[in-house]
Amino acid sequence: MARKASSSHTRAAPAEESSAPPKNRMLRFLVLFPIFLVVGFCGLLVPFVHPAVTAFTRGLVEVSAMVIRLFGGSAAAHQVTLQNPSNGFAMEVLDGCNGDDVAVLLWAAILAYPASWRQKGQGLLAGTAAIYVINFLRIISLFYLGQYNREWFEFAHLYVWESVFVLLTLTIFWMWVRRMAAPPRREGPVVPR
Amino acid sequence: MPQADPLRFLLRALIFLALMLALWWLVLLNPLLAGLRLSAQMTLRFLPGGNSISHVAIGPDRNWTFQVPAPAALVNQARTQQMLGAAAAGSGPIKIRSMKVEGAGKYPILFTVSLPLYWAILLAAPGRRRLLRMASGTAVLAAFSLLSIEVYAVRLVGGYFHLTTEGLPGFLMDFAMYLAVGVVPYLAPVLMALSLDEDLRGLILTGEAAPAAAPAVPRHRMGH
Repeated sequence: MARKASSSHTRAAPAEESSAPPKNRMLRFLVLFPIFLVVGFCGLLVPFVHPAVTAFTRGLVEVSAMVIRLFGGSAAAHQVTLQNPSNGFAMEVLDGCNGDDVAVLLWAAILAYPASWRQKGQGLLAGTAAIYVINFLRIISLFYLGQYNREWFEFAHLYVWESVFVLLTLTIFWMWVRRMAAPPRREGPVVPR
Repeated sequence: MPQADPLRFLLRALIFLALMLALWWLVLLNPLLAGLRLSAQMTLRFLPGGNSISHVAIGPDRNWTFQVPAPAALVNQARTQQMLGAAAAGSGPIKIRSMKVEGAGKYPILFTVSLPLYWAILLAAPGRRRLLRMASGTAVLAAFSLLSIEVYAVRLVGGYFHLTTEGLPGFLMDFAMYLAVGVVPYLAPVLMALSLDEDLRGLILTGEAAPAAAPAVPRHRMGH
């Protein structure tokens, strides 16, 4: 007979959803996810939200310019446009390019998933941070690619990076679910009596 | 189950994405665009008011030209006449039978990018029997592409004549275009893969592998 693991070292169990059968929980996810998704995407288009989205994009462009300058590059931020003053290349960061769409996708999935609010909060924080860091790298990479080759910039911008971003978001969500589904940690080694 | 690791899946998916994007761009894109053009043209012809004038063409720069019949009620509007330059001509209202509206070629291309992404996800997912899933998912995504090109055409032509830019219709049209351009091409492949691939759905939504098929057990004939 094995020693029982102490409950104080185990994960926090999902709150109210854990009592429901798994099939019902999945059904709930499948219903809630599209609803949250539509609400999120509509929310990004609502006029009074738009100034906040634009302000965020402006901040993103300014930070990108600062980081490029920090590493010896040439960049200036003008509103939502990232420009290289030395060669005149300019890249406008539009609403869809600021990572908000992908963040909405991840938020909808995490919020709809049967988990405790604490687990959801952790997933939202870590996942959103990961998405915006990746998007930040994406903007800087596109800035340099655009100066090198315009056609490659278009291809990378519209087809490669967006697809990669979706795969990354799927993986982030999967990692979060997997972390929750991991078996609880035991206090010590299993000692047979 | 080594394939069930999310990072391993990501790596496989990225490799397959590179291969599928190359296949799509170099081989499949032109036939796909030709198919889209044909279906957009058929749709325009079968729409109320559409006729043989309706024509869709793809230029050498890959930009799209939509030629559609011009409704008399629309052409006779003061705003349209002003846009056509009737006042400058000074010869009364200008009559036109059809109009040509040109749109950027990048959007129709974008409507087909869901296919390589979908194939990459399915190929990276663990499990077999992918052919049927791939074929059925491709068919549904192709239908989404057709729907997206219709939205694009309506938005382009309607926007040119200020038909769908104000009020609720304007918001709905903007939202439809936003979905067609920014959401459906990237989100639809993931949802399609999750809905058709039970193993992948089990892995991602429960964090566990879907139950494997029971091993084949040799049958024993009942002896007498």
